[in-house]
Amino acid sequence: MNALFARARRYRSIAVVGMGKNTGKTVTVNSLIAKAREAGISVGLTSTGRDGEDEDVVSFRPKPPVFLPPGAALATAGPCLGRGSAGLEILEATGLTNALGEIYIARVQEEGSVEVSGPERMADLQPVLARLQQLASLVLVDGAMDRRSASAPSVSEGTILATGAVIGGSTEEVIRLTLHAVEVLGLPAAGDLSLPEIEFLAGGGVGAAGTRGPIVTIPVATAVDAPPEIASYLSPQCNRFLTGGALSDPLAELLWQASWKIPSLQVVVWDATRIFVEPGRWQRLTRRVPVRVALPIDLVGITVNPFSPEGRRLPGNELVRDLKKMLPGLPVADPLA
Amino acid sequence: MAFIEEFAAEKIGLDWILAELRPLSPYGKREKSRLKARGPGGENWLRAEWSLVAGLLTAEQNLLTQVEHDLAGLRDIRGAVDRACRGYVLEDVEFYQLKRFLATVFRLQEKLALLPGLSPRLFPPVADALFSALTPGGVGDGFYLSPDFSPLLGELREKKRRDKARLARWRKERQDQVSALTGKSFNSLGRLRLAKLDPAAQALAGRPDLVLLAEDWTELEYGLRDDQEAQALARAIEALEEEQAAEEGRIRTLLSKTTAANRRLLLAACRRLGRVDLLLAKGRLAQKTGWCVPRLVPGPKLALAEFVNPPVASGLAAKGLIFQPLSLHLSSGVTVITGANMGGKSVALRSAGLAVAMAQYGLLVPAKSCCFSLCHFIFYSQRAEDSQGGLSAFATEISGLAQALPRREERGLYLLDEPARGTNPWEGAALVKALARWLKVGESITLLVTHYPGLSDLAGANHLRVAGLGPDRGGTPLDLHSLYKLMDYSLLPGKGEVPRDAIRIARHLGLPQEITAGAAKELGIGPQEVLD
Repeated sequence: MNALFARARRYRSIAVVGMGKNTGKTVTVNSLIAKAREAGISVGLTSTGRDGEDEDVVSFRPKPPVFLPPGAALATAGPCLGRGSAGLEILEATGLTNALGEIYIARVQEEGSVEVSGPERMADLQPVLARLQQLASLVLVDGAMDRRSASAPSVSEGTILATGAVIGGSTEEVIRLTLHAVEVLGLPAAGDLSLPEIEFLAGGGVGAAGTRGPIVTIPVATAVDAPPEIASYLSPQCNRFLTGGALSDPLAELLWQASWKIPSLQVVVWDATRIFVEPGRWQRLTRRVPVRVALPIDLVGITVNPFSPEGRRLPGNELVRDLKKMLPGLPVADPLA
Repeated sequence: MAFIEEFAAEKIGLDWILAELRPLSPYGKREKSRLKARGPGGENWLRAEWSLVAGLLTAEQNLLTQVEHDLAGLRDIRGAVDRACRGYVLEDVEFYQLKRFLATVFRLQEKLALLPGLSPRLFPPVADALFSALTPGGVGDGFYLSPDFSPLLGELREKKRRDKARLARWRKERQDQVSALTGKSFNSLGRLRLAKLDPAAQALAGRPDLVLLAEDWTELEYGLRDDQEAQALARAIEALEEEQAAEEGRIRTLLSKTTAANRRLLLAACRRLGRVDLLLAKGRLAQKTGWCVPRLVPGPKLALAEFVNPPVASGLAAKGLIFQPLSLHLSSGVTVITGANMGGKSVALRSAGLAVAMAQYGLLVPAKSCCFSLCHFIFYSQRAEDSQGGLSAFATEISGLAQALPRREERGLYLLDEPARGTNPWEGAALVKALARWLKVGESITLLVTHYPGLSDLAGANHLRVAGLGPDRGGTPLDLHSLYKLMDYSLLPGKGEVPRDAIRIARHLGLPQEITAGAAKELGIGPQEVLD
């Protein structure tokens, strides 16, 4: 964890995202907070959606609380302010809301646990992050990787990926899926995006563009289910598929098929956290079609939770060792080792 | 019967106006939801209201911006006040909102005093006692139950902090001893994982200061077992936490009671801020639409000079067109407007209603001048069919008229937009004529738009006609945009025959020539006569 924190402290904001529930996101956040405290670095914390409750709202399993030291800054919804053991000074109301209510900025006066429920929308996450950065040297965003949440990695300087036994039945399976996630998160930026294309992607649009001419909006409510008409908008002249939404398995399949007719096909996704394609299909797609992102992600490191909530345990040391070997230069740690 | 029915408010554009009236605070929004028109008897209130809004429009823009910024930042504290009054203990976030509210009220008091024409009766009162109670250590932006609220709280926290540090030190020392023995560190949860095959595992077995927390086929997980000293410390911390919670609860209870005791002042401040906010919103609306201060005159009368209908003007502006300001002069009895299709007769009729409605809602009127007498009601005749009730458009219109017509002795404004157009023209024309005769009597003003012939000989009615289209150039069909530009929407006094422009306009709007020529033939007119 020391190597991971040594690298993390070079960043001003870090999103911690998990490959699934129970991958040890909260433990990672707590470890980073504890390390920052030891190093005398002030910390800010928020989340995309809810975290820090006693129980996981999805799986109803007990969750570890998030602990903050005195002086830390926090952005959370009003109803969560009185729920932890930390003594909080409420500094300001942001005017931004999530499902629980208005989001407040608070400072920890007395150390203790907190309940974090930050902005759900990307547009709200940016100003909250900016405000926390005024109050703390290192801001952590407890993020999520799903289609509904704001993409914390795309607004943070760096990202830590939490993986664990919960995502696969064996060490090999966990490693395979983690390497796939690392590959996706590390997608390079599409360097030649025009301003209209960036705005189009930021607005969640789905469309097609060529080297010349305007962006053609593909009139679909969502591209997730890959409606076949998408293919009719692509041509050798209009060969760049743009999606500000999710790149799903069915959509990847459709694009792969289209690539046989349009060998020059390219795909640009807003950011890598919107890609939900299983590894096999992903390899098949990327062998034929270059996939790029508008907002690249800087992966800071990986944390590993060898325990699954069902009580199953994978050898943590092996997991960490093998991942380190396959991802040289990237810090990998089990925060509870 | 209401001042104006819901569908009529939508038809004449009053809903559009009210949607554009945008107070900034929750109190202003509440005030707006209670907004109602003032009828006869409300003259003094309305004059004062118009004067207040007009006065605010002369205020310095920078000052207005500051006031609006403060109003926009207000949160609704009434829920917290209500909870405090019902005996609940409030939460810190509610105290924060109360403190912030009171700080804003302080700031606004100074600024509101600089706004022209604003009576001190509209200045929000400050609950000084509550503000002092919420800021024992001086005015800061945030809220925290600091030791300034209670020295005891500070002592308890300090004691707890020291004990926690002692316990943490004790545990760290023990952990370091075990780590030195095994070469393994405890993790952030205070646990030590060790492989079963690790030689150090033997050394840890049976140690009284360690407890085996978990074990699987390869690893052991140990935690520290607290000795009596550590247990005593942990118990002391727990007791201090309880004492601290009790003290914090006592302070919160006290603050909640102070909030409840200041209920009247707080709620009065909310009401007055809402009132000021709505006045400012009326001012912003007037600035956007243009404005004049209406003038009340006795007797049924409505005189508008250069009225610009905001919803229509806004729609036209989106198409790059400009609204032709409307002037009209109405007195009691019936005024009949005739004119070409698309000549703006209905817009004129709705504009008359909108001007009166806006003024009676205490808004300034977007005209050069507006003189009128207050109405008890505005009635708009045209309505859609009631398909669920099984009534046709004609039936719903007639049943509406049946309810409204007996009120002719009251001061009201009847807006009859092509009445009886849903039936055959012979009976329709007769009905309209009879309606006009009925409404000539009484205290109300009637504005009647019709295409039916025969009203020109109605004795005692006023007549206005739309100037309409000039002669065509070349007889080429025109698009809507060009047609709009060629149309003169002025209302001119005079009876005259009902203009026969329908076929001509239909031709311009693209109806096939075969059809318009057929219609002309039916009437015995040549095709060129239609276009001329």
